Amino acid sequence: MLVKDIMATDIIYVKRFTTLGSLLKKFKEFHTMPVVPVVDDDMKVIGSVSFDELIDALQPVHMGGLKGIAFVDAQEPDIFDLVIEPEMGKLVVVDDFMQTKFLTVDQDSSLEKVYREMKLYQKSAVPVIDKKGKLAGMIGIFDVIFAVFRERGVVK
Amino acid sequence: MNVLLGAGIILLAGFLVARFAYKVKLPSVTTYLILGIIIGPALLNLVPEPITRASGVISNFVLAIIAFSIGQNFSLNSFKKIGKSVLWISILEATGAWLLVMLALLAFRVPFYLALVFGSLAAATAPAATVMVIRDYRSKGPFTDTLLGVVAIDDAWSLIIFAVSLAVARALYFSTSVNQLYVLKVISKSLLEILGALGLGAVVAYLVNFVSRLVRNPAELLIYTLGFILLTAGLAMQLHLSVLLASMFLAIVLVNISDTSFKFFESLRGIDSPLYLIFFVIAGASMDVLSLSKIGIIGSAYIVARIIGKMLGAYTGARISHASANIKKYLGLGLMPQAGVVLGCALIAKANFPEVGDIILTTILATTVVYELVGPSCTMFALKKAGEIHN
Repeated sequence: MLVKDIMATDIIYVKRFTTLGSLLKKFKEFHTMPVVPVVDDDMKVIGSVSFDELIDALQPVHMGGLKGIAFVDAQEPDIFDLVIEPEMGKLVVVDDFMQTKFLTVDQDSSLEKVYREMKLYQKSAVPVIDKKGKLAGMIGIFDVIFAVFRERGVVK
Repeated sequence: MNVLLGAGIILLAGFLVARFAYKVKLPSVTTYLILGIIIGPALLNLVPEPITRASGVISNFVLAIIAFSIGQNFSLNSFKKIGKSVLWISILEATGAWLLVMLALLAFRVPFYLALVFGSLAAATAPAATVMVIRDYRSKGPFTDTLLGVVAIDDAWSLIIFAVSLAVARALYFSTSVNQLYVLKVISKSLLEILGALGLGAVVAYLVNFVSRLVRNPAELLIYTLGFILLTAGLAMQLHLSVLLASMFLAIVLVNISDTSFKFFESLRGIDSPLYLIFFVIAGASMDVLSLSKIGIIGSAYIVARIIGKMLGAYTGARISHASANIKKYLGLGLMPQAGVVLGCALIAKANFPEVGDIILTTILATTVVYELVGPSCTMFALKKAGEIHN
């Protein structure tokens, strides 16, 4: 079985200049905000956003694009300690905090390969792309597990 | 005392002082260092001798990991994001401190190779202390952003400056007879050490990328990453190349040839804190109280020249990049704290030049304590003057 056989194709994605306000509104109905792919005008995946990045971006001090600075005491992410102002809903856009180093999987990959990659990168959901790098869907670790159970006849 | 008992005491005592440090608002690295001085041979003598003897190996290992982590910022993409001011100021404040400290020590008749090493040690700053001050006072604005950018990238420049200076100092130290070929010999020897390290890093990076398809889970990834860092550092030592440059270049090539190289850097996050703790305690414990009396002039010259070098360098960098008046005037002052990579460099320098090793290390330790106690207030003063602290 391949990724494209079981991936979700009816998915939520955002653009680089989607505002924080409309991003949050999109997830009002959900219990969690999963990994959301960011696409350009050609539907090419250029980044991803999740809550971690959002909270990180709003910390009183964030190190921006520079990582790997030694010995800086870890800051415990605290949603109650963030600097949040009402205008941010309109002023902060996805481009400000999206992750540009992210994992994608090819829609023609095997489920075994994708499962292994998600385990290796410790991701519970990843964007699926086609040969041209365009967003084709999303796949979660539970989709893979479910497919295996269905194949064995546990669920119909 | 046996090694395991000593290591256990170091880790748990470190844990306790870090909790305390959080309350009194000191960066944990500073308290680890002071803990090291207290439990070291000079005072309580709780650190087993084999552990302090291994300080050269441990600092090479820790600095190899740090150089590797720093290298990840050098992808073409993230490099483009660094502002012009940050780039100019960081390069010039680091080289400014290096040059002025070197010249000051030469004026006091310190041998050239030693002045070169001291100068290169002066280039580093302490991101931990600076970040702590900024977090505490919640300062915000263009000055804060520039300062953060500068301390973040400064470690990279200072490691490069140190690695190059060390290569030259070693060539000077080990090339004896003074004749016409002397200069040529020094230059070719140091170039070989530097270029060889870059070549080694690049070759290993391609190997890391190529074989990485065998890695199947996070545990294997950590083993794989650590294995290759050790391999690079070990090969560099074996071939008398710069360990720091080889590790840094390994990472630089890796981020530029692989889209998914971030996994290697992320995998190290789980192990770095206990390693850093032991490293700082050992650095503190390596302080030689007897040399403390000898460092008066060198230490004072180092402290004063470093401050002037950083301020002049930052000013010039800000001028070239047309930064605001506040940044020109006060940014150098915000760069006073010194800790972190400089201690590892000092330990490596000590291992390279055994006769003067204790003087180097003890001077750096003593000045680090001074800078870490005074530096954060200077940073706060600079932020206040720049109008970015609001009570």
